[in-house]
Amino acid sequence: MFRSNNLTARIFERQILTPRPGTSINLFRHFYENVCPSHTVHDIDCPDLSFRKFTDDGQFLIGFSRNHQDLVVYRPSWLNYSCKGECPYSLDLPPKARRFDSFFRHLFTISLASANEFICKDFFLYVDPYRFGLFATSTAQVNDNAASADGAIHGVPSIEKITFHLVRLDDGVVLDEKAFYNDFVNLAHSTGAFLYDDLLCIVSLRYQTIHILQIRESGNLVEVRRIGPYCQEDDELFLQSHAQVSPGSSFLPGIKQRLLSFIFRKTWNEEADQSMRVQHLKKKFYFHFQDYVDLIIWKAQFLDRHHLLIKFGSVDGGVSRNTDQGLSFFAVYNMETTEVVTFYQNSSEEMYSFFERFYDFFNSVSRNTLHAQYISSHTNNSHALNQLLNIKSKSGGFSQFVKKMMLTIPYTCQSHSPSPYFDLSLFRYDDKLISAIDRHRHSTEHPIKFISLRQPNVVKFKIKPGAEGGGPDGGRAKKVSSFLFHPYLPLVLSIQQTYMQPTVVNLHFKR
Amino acid sequence: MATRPQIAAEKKKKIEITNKTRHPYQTNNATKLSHKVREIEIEREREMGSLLGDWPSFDPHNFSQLRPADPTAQPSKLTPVTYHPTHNRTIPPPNQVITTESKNILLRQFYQKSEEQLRPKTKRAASESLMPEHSCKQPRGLNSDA
Repeated sequence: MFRSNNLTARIFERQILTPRPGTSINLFRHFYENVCPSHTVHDIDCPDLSFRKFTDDGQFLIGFSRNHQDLVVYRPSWLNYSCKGECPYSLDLPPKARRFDSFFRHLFTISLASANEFICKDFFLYVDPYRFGLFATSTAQVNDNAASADGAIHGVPSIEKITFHLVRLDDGVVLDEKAFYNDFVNLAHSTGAFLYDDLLCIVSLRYQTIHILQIRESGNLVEVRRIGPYCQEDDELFLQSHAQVSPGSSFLPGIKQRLLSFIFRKTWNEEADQSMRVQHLKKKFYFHFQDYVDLIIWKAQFLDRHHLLIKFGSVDGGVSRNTDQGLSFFAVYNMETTEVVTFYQNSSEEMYSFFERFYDFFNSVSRNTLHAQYISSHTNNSHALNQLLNIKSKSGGFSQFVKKMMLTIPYTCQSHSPSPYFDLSLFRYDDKLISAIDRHRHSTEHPIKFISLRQPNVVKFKIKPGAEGGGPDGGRAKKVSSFLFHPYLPLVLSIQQTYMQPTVVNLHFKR
Repeated sequence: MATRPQIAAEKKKKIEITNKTRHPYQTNNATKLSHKVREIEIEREREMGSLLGDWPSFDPHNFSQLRPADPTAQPSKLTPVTYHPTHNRTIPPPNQVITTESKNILLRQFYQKSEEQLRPKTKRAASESLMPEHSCKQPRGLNSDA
C-alpha cells in the first residue's frame, strides 16, 4: 500500500518498497490512480468507421467500414510533438492533437465480405498468443421455420452462409476460413463462439452441434470434434455399419442420450427406498421425458480443455435475446470421456453458490494471459461482492434473483475490458452508465465520473460522451454511446450515435 | 608555555578528580578521545594479520577471537545445521510427487457434487451423509476476509 497519493512520492516509495509475495502487480496498478485520461478532444476528425474494440493486448484497434464489408485495423500510438524554448505545462496542445492519426496509425484495410455478405459488426475474437483475429461474415437471415430433412430443428432461422475468417492482424493476411451453410450461429456479441487458448467452440443452433476447432500457429482452423448427434468420433461409423438403423429413426442425438442417462441415474439414486424407486422415477423422469428430449443447446463455453458447460433450454428462447427468465438447464460435459458430469436447473441454489464463489472460473482463460486475471468480479473483489449481496437482499424473491444471475452463465468470451479504470479496487463508477462489458448504453448529458476508491470525495477523471456543447439539438434525441478503453494506456474513445445524425467520436487521454 | 608532560599530568589529575565524582558508566569526551588514541596505537603495535587489518576499532578486544582467514577453509563447504525430526508423524510417503491439480476448483466442485448425486442412497446412508467429509475442518464464512 502506498503511503501517499502523490505521484512523485509513490515513485520514490516504489524504489524501496517490497510488496507482499505475489501482489506486485496489484500494488503497481495503483499508479493508474495518478495517470488518468484527463483531457478530451471533442469530435475528433476521424474516418467514418464503426470502431469495434481495442484488442486485449492493446496492439490493435479494430474497426469496420460503414458498408460492413471491409476490416480496418489501426495501431494505437501516442501524440508526439515538440515546442521551441520553454514549454510550460499549460501550453495548448498543437493542432496536431486534434487529428486522429496522431494517435492511431493505419495498418491495413482488407475486404472480408463479398457482394451479398456483411461483416457481423458485433463479432470479434482475438487469439492472443498468435495475434490473430477471428471475424464473421454472413448473408442475410432467412426465417425458415420448417425443419429440413438433414436434421435441422425448426424454430431456428437459417442463414445461407456464415463464414469465419482468421486474419493475422500484423499484416492483414487472411489465413483461413470456415464456412457453415444453411446454418445459424448466434453471432451477436460473440455469444455463439468461445475461445479458450487455441480451442474454439462454435455452437450451431440449427443443427444442434458444437464444433470444436483448433487454431494452429500456422493459421489453420482444424476441426477437432463435433459434438451433438454423435459424441465419439467413430459413433457415426458404428451406427451406419449396423444397418438396422434407418434414417430419421428414433435414435436420439448422442449428447441428448448422455444427458438423459445422467438424469435417469440421478433420479434413480435419489430415492433411498427400493420399492418407491419406480414411482419416483415415473414422477420425476418419465413425466418430463418429452420436455427433456425437446431441450436444445443454447450456448456453450469451455471450462478447461476437456470440459464444456452447456446451457440447454426450450426452442423459443434460443434465438431471441429477450431476457425472459424461463426454465433453462446447465450441464457440464467432459469431451474426453463423453460423460455428462452434472446437470442443474437455472434456479438451483447449488449452481448459484458456484456462481457466487467461483465466478472467475467461468471466465476461463489459460493462465498465460495476464490481463484477464485482473478483471474485477464479485469473486475477486469485496466491493463487487457487496454490490451483489445488496442486489440479493433487495430483490423480490430468491429464485427470481438466481435466475437473473444465471443469465450471465455461460460466460461470453472477451466481453470484459481489461482496462484498470474498471478495476473496482481502484475506482468507483456508475455501473449503469459505463462498465467493463462492451455494450451500447443510453447516454446522458452529464459526464461520467470515476471516483477514486481511497479518496471518496475526489473525482479522478470524467468522461463526457458527445459534443462539447451538448449537441445541436440540445440533447433531446435519443443517443446511444459506447466506450472503448485501451487495455493499459490512459486512452479512451467514446462514440456517441444519434439517430439520423453523424456519429460523434471523442478521444480522452492524459496530457 | 607548559610542556607536554606537564599538560598531560594536569589532565590526568583532572580526569581522576572528575572520575571520582562521576558515575562509573559516565565518561566524558576527553576520556573517550584518549581511549581512541590509545587503541590506534595498540593496533599499530600489534601488526597482526587480523581480519580487519589496520582498521581502528573502539575496543581492541573486539574481533580478537576472529582468526585470520584460513586459506584452506572454504565457507561454501560448511554444512548448515541440519534438523532432525524427533517424531515420524509427518514423514511424507516415499515416492511422493507434488504437482498442480489439473482440474480447477470449479470443476472439482462439479465432480464432487456429481459423485454425491450418483451415489446410491440407502436409508442408513442418509444419516452417514450428515457427517462432513473432513470432520476436523470448519466451513469458512463467506465474508470472513471482508
